[in-house]
Amino acid sequence: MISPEVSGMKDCACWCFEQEHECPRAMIGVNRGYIQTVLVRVTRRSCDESHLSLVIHEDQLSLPLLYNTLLHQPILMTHKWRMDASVFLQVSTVTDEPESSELISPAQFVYGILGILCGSDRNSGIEMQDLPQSVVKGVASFSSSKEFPDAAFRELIEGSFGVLLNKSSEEDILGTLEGISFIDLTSIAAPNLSKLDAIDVKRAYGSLVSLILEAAKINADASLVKEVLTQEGVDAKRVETLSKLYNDTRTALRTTLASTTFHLPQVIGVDWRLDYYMKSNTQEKINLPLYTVSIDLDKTTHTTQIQTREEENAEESGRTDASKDKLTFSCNQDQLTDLVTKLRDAVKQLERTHNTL
Amino acid sequence: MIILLEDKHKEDLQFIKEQPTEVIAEFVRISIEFLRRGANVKLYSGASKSLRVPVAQVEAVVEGLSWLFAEASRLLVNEEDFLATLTILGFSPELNAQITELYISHRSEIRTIQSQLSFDLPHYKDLNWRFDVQLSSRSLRNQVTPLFTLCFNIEDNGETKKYYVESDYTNLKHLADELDNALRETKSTHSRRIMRNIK
Repeated sequence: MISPEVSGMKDCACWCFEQEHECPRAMIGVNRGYIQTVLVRVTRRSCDESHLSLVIHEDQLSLPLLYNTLLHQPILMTHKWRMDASVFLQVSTVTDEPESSELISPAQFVYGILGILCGSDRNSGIEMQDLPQSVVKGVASFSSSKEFPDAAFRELIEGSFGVLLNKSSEEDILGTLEGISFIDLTSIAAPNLSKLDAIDVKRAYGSLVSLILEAAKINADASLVKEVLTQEGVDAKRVETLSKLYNDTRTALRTTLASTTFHLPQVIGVDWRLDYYMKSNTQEKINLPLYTVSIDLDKTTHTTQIQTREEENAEESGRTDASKDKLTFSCNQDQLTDLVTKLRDAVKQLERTHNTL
Repeated sequence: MIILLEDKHKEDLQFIKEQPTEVIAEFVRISIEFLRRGANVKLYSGASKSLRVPVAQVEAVVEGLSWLFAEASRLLVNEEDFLATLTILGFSPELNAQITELYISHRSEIRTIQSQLSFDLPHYKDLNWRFDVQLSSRSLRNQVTPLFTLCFNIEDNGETKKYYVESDYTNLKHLADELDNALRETKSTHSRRIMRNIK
């Protein structure tokens, strides 16, 4: 928390927000009383003033306006001082009332600042440390033009991205496993690749796909991909092609990755039926409306996006798809009213949260 | 709707005519207890001893009365019709009034028992919901995906099963809208006409 000598403030209520150590930290204190003072402490690995384009107006602005100016315009700092690689900024505004109901919460204010500070910082500290060495070294296998001719390289990247985006299957690049022969690259789709040694092709494909997927997973910039590739000595031209292709397909890759997950059965549709329950063999003159509701559920979990030809054929031949299900139940009018009220409540909650953000 | 009793029934119930009011009330009580829980043989032997009649006679009377009440509840016979049924048997008016009163007071209970005899579709009991935001998964970091988790409590033959289901906002809204339409159907003219006319 802020020490009294540094801030010179009394009756200070402080909120401290810690982020990952790589990212800026902001600590905010708001004085109670007529003088609203905001103290922002920014800690960076390399604290460079030129990056701090925080300029705060020294006017009689209430906090909301201050918040808006933070987002849209540079703001003037009133005081600034350094202490152990941190920069303290002090902003003072004078308001008429001690606490105005229009004031935004300090949390929002801090997030506003952090939004700006973090904006330029997206990739700092994100490293592709999770890639195993075999993958990283495998990248080297398509690094040079001598061992891996250009035509083959082109086929490799086209094929890999095609597989990742679900447009083609792995067999187009790698061939199929047939009988005793280990790998049979007789596919017409990749003639140049089939001329190379099968193990090399597999290694190249594996490492390329892993690299691209890992980059997409952490939403890395193309520059990070370039870094990793150049580190392993891939040709500059090839690095360019790869990173450009990665950048173009980044959102599509992230979308496919987002659906590669497991989940509970999901609601995809609903059917309902209204009956008039008149009599049964045990009673007559019942005369009550009765609803039967059937909710369609989708149980598919895409834990692997890459399907082999056999799996695709199986689906086409119309075998029963156990991934669709229905949840059927009956209810009378009161119960359905109860159900609908609860659902509407849930929907309204989200709308309310969305409006306050 | 008047219930027409078979002759054998009428014979069994003739026995009641001669009995004093308290005994009749006792018989009615026993017959309703019979509907609730089945025959109680000890009670019959006790009654037969006190009334000096064979047990079979007591049983016949009880079963006859039970059948009368059950049938009347099943058809939801109203007071006048029930009175008319009793008049056919030739009971005295006070007796009729008494039995009718007892019938009316126990009718809803008998109907509840009867409804339990029928089969039941799995029906809705309760719904719990929860709103989450998915931040990451093994395949993808840095996500912000809102989603709802619902728990339907469905009762089937006495046991309550829980069904956990996921949904996003659009599907949930669609679900709520569709079921709202379903509810509004009961208020439509067509449904109202049918419900009013089928009595």
